[in-house]
Amino acid sequence: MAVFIGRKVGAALIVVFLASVIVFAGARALPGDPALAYAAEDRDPEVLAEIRDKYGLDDPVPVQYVRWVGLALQGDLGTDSRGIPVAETIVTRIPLTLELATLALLIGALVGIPAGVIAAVRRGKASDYAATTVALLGLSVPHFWLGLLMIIVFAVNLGWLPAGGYVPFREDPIGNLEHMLMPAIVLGTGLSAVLMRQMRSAMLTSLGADYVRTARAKGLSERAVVGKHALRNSLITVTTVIGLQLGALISGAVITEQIFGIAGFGRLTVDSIAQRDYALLQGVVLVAAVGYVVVNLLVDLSYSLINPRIRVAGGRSA
Amino acid sequence: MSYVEAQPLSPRARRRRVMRRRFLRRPAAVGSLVVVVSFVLAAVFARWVAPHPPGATDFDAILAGPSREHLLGTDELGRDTLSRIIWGARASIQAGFFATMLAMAVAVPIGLVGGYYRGKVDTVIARITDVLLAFPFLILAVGLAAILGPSLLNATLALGIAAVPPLIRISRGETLELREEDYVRAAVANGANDGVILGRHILPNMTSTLIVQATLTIPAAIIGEAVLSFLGLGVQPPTPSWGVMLNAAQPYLSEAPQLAVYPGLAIVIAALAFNLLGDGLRDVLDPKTER
Repeated sequence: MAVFIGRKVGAALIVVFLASVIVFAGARALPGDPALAYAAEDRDPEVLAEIRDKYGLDDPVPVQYVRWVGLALQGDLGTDSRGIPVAETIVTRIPLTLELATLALLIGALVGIPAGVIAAVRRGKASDYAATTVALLGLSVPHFWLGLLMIIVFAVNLGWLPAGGYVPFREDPIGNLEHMLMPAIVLGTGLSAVLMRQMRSAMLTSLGADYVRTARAKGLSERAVVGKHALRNSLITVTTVIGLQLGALISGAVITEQIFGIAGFGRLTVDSIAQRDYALLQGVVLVAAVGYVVVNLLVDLSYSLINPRIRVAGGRSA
Repeated sequence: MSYVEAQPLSPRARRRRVMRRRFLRRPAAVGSLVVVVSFVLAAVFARWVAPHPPGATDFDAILAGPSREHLLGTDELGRDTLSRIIWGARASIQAGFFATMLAMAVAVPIGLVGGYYRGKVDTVIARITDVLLAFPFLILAVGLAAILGPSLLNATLALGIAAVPPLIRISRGETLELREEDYVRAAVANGANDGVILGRHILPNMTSTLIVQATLTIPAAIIGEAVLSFLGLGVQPPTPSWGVMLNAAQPYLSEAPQLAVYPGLAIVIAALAFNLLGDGLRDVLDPKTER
């Protein structure tokens, strides 16, 4: 087990390292002179030279990279063009996005998993077709359009919910949820569609498995067969899917925050690109990639805890 | 006495006929194919299909609702929404097809080489794919589009590159499986060189997987183009694109909500049609996967 964990963590570290190289190279590849971004309107060559000197922009790129990673490991991601520490900005923005993502995950799971179970149990019946069709629609509707539609209906026409903005939970819990409800539904829709489809096919597989036939043969109630035997085994698959959906969740958060004017982590990503803010962009994308890798690592590990066969097979092939 | 000899169908023709029958038995697949073809035709022949030029302004009808003259109403400059959606299909279809073709052209050879030769090359390819998969598709596309600069061509390139990693993984996995097949071993035993094995034995056997993947990548790229254009990283106004139209509709959500509804509907219909077509093709081409 220790060897297995070590190997997985090692692979994740390699991925994080290479990701940091790509992030750094990508930020360097952005058009425009970073010194100009820092200098804002000031194009005085002396000022620019001073900035280049201060941020070490004249050093060879590998040197800059090593310095950046060295500081990043200590939690220092540099300062953005307005002189605010990047790490600080990220730390203040992340809670908003985490709240949004958690609510979206909750909605996705609460809608998607039961819908998938029902569709599988009632395979071929009307409820199965209805759930499958709605899921397909949910997959094809882009976040930003769903967001606009919900704003038109629930904010503009009905006036039930605010069209955008954010209220901290500690200040006004109900107002916070009011502001977060639409974005969370928008972000959770795609996820619930994916979960429904995965859950349905996983359940169909388990329902056809020998242990379910055995459970039925020994006279267990249908409820126990579905709930205890089939559902539990299907949930394992779905755990992995949730981990894999994290990327979609991050992409979705970028768009959703943009539409609802939530100043979270996703919004920060777009802003940093729009403002050509090197340090900020590097930090944001690095944190996103690391988060993604870490979550997938945790999913991998928990998966192997639940199902020891994965560990053996994974250990052999990796 | 003369007679006509019954021509037995070649195995390939018979297979094709079975496929066609299987496809035609699926109303959703047939319907989606019709929708896809109409979108492509509308995009290609936009000049003749659209009732108005995309940039023509009608100052007597600004933010107007549907009328006989403007079936889906007009935008803030009095431009015909329906015409702009039809012209916008060009950007979407172009981004969808070309990004997918680019992704395939890059990913499939890499996947073939990695999966076939295994060893160090494969390890490197697999690791790099893992790394790129650590960046969500849209984040990667947004980043690349920012590096390349905003335009339809660059957005297409960005989407194409962003779609490469998952396709490498799929074609590599498929190659890994196919190289163990008996017919590949037979070809090796017959002294076929690697090019022949990859090109004549392995690649043709993964075409159905690739076709299905392509029909699923196209809608992702179509939505991706809309998102990039919506964020200002793709098609630039005044050129019509569904994403540009949705972005422009934002200030008028209360006055003219239809401006935000129709272009999005076009995206959903196009994406849904491609997704359904992909599902249908998977059923037809790969009878193993039960649904």
